[in-house]
Amino acid sequence: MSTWILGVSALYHDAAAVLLRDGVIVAAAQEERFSRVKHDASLPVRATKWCLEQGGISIGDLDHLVFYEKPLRKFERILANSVATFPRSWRAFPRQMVTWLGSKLWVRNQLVATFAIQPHKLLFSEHHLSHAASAFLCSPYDEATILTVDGVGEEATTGLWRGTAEAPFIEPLAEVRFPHSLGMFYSTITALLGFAVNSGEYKVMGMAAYGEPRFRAEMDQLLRLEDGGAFSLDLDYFSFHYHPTQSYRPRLVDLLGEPRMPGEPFRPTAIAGDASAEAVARNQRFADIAASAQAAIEDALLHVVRAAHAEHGGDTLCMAGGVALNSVANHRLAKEGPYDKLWIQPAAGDAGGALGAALWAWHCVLGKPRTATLDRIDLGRSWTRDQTRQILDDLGITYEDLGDTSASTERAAADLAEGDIIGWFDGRFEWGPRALGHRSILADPRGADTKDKVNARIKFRESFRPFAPAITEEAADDWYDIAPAARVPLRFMLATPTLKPEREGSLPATTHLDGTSRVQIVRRADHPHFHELIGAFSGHSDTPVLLNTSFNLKGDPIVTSPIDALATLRRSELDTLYMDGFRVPSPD
Amino acid sequence: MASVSQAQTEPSTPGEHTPTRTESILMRFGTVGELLMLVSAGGRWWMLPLVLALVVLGIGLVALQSVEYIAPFIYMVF
Repeated sequence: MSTWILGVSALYHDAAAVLLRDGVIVAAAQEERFSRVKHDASLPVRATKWCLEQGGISIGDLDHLVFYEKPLRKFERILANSVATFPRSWRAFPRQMVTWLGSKLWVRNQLVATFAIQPHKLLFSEHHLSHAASAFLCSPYDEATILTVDGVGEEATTGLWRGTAEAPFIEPLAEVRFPHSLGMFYSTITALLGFAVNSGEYKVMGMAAYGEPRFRAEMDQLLRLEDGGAFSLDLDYFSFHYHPTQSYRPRLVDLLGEPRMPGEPFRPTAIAGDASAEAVARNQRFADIAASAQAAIEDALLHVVRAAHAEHGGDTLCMAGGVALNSVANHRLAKEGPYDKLWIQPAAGDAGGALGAALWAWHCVLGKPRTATLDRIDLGRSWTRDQTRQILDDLGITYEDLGDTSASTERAAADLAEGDIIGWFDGRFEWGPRALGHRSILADPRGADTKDKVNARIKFRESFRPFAPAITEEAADDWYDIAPAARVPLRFMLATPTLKPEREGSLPATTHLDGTSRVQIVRRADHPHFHELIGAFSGHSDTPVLLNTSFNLKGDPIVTSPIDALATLRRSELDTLYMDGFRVPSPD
Repeated sequence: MASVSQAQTEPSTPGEHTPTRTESILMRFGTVGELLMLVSAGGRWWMLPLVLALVVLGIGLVALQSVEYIAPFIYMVF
C-alpha cells in the first residue's frame, strides 16, 4: 500500500502544493497557475485538487499533509521584534496583530477546515528546514553542504546544514537570524529602486549590468561581513523590521541619493536615447546602485560558502531560498566558490517549501531512504490532444493538426527562422518560476530588433530586461564559457555564463549588456520535443539557440491551460501558437 | 490577491472530515497552549502576559467577526 504525502506552502507568497507517492514526486504546482492570480498566497486549494486528481486519490487517502513552516514560531518572532523595536513598531503592530489573530495564527484550523482532513494527519516543518530539504533530498548527491537564504522564515534568514546519505539526512550547522538578512538587504534596494518587493528583485539584477559598482563602499556600510561566515546589517539604515510599508530610513537616502519613482523610464548611459543629460546621470546612479548591491550580495554569499567550506569541507553545495534565484550570484558561486558541484532547487522560493516539507516528512519523519531525484521539471498539469482539439473546436478556432508535438517541431523551426514569434505549449507545465520549454514564448535570438519586438508586441515589459537563450546540451560549450559547477543549475536557467568572445554580436536578443545570458541548457533526456525543436531551428540557421521567455503577458502568471494560451495569443501579437501538435495562427 | 477566506469557500475535494464547532474551538485552545509553551520554552517569560492578552483579543475578534451585524465594523476599528 502506497504512502501519500501532500506538501503545502501558503499564506505569505507563492502558495504551492506537491504530492509524493512513496517519496516520488507525482505532481507539483503553484496555486497561481490555477487561480490566475500572480504570486497567489492563499491556501492552494486548486493546486491541491489537481494534485489529488493526478494521483487518482482523495483527501482521505493522504497519510500526511505537511505545512512548510511553523506559524507559531513566526508569530513569536513578530511579537518579540515588535517589543524590541517599540515605539517605532507602533504602526506595524496593530496591522500585524489583525492579520495574525484574525487568520494566520490559526493555520491548523484553516488546514482542517479547508482541506477537510483529519487533524492528526497534519505535520509542520520549519521554513528553512523545508528549503534545505527541497535543496538536498531530491538532488542527485548523497552528501552535501546545504545553504538556505531568503528574507526570513520563522527566525532564520540564512541556514547552513549538512546533508547526509543516511538518517537524519539533514543536520543544522549554523544560522543567521532576523533582522540580519541578505534577502531583506536586496529587497530594500529593490524598493529604493522603485520596484515591488518580493517580485521586482530580478529587475534589480537585470539593471545591475548597466552600472558600475561605485557605491560598493556604501554597501559595505549597510551589509557587514563578519568572521566565520556571518554577516549583519546596519539597522540604522533600515526600517523593514518595524515599519509596515517602508523598508528603509531617510539615512539610506542620504547615503545613496533620492529613490527611483516606480515606473520611471530607465535611461542610463548605455540606453540613453533622447533623454536629457540630467535624466541620464540620475538613471546611471540607479544602475550603479543596482550594480553595487548585486556585487555586495555576491560577495556576501561567497563569504558564507567559503567559511562553510573551510569549516566543514566537502565538494557539493545545495541551495534554496529566494536568494538562490539570483542567477548572476549563482554563476559567481559556481566560478569562484570552493565547491565543485552546485545544485539549486528550481523552485527555490517559498513555493519550493511545499516540496521540501513533503520530502522532509517522507525521509526525516518516516525515516525512508533517499529515492527521488528531480531531473525533469514538467510536474504540472497537461491536457490530452483530444481535450485540446475539443477546446479548439468548441471555440471555433482555425487550426492545423500536425499530428503530435514531434511532427510540429520542423514547422515551428521554419516559422522561427522566418522571424515569427511563437507560443510553445507542450505537455505538463513547469515546476518553478521559469518557463523551460513547456509554456514558452520563443523567437530567433539573432535579430537585432527581436528583443524590442517581443517586448513591445507581446511581453509589454521594461525594455532594459534581457531575454534568456535556450541551447542544446551538445552545443552549449561551443557558445558559452560555462563554469563546471554551473552545468547542472543551467538546466533550470539558474546561472549566467558569458557568450564566447568569438560569438560576440551573434545573439543580440539574448545577450545582456555585460555579455552574460541566463542560459538554459536543454538535454534530450529531459525535454525531447524542445531539444528537437532547437535542433531543427539550428538546421535552418546554424544557431542551436532560441530566445525563450515565459508564456504570459506582463502581470499574468504563466499560462496553464489551452484556454489561457489561446487568450494570450488573442491579447498579444504572437504570430503563431503551437500547442501539443496543433498549429494555431494569430487571429489578426 | 485572493484572500484566505475566499480560498476557504472552495473546498478542494470531498474530504474525510468536517470539523465540528467544538473541535474548532478545541483546536484554537490547542494552538494557544502550544504558543504559550513555545514562548516559555524559549525563555521569553516576559512575553507571556502580552501573548495571553493578544490571544484573548484575537479570539474575541474571531468571535465578533462571526456576528453578522458587528463584523463590518471590525475592520473599520483597525
